[in-house]
Amino acid sequence: MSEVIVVTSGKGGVGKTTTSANIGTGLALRGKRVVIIDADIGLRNLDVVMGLENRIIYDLVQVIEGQCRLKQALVRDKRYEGLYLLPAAQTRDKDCITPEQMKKLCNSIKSEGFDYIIIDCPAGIEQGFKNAIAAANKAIVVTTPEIAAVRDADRIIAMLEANEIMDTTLVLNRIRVSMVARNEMMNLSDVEEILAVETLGVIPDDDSIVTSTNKGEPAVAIENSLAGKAYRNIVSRILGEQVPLLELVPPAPTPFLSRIFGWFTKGKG
Amino acid sequence: MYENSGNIARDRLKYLILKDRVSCTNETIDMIKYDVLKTISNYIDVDNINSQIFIEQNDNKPLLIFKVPIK
Repeated sequence: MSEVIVVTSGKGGVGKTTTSANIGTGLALRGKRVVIIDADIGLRNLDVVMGLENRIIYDLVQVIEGQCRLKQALVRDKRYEGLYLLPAAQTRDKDCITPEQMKKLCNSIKSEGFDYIIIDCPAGIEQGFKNAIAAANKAIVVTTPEIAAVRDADRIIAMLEANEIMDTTLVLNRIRVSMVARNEMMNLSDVEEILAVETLGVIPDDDSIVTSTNKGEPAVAIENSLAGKAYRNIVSRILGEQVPLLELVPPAPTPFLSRIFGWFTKGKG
Repeated sequence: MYENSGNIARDRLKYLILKDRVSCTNETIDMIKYDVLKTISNYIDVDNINSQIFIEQNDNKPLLIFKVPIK
């Protein structure tokens, strides 16, 4: 039985595509057969994040319109066994497919024996969003600790419920630990309290996401990347394992500073 | 009192989301207030001027609160 998970957020630029690529790749690294669908028709990007942009021949719209077979359009990621990308069309727009067609497409992917279908949803709440969620039985809402992003996430969660997607979890992305420590950024419990959905994971704001995206290699595959570890934990939770949330601690102060800190904390245990 | 911006963000966001969820304009609130006070006044003497109506978050559900002082 395959699972169809849509990665969505409402607001753009919070990390949907990065999250889709990392979760999909992470599941493949755990031996699952995975298709990641780029549902952002007209603004295709997932292929670039995954480093597969030079391998695209056909796209999702061409499969739906019957110009090619599904198998011809699926781009196999040679680095990770079992990982496939179904790219978006770049020269079409979101209105050229319907939710019904999306459901049909996902059903034919399911019948190929894949374990997971991850759908990278476009920003916004219009047709592209409706297409992307049509076939999903689970949703992952990505947000950052900013007012605009959380507000949009709240709207999206309500819309997912209205569309009878009841299994929705939260990924809080781009946490800047030192800012949270100074209480200059909302923390997970602030966001959790407001959105009232279960947390799937927290991702620190990490340079390795930038460098890995530059290279087209998802961070989840990089052993010493902190964000990569956060994504590996998320993958484990998707697979039903109990993994504690990544403990995000601010970088240790320099020896000189820690000496000063020591003066204040001495005797307090 | 100095307040950290993280707390400011949280409070602004809470209020914003509350208004989004209730989708209630200030005019609507005023109309509700007027109607409720009129109804209560049919039975007891209340202090219209110092009455307050506001929406609060309670267990993640918006709560409509009236404060109506009795004369």
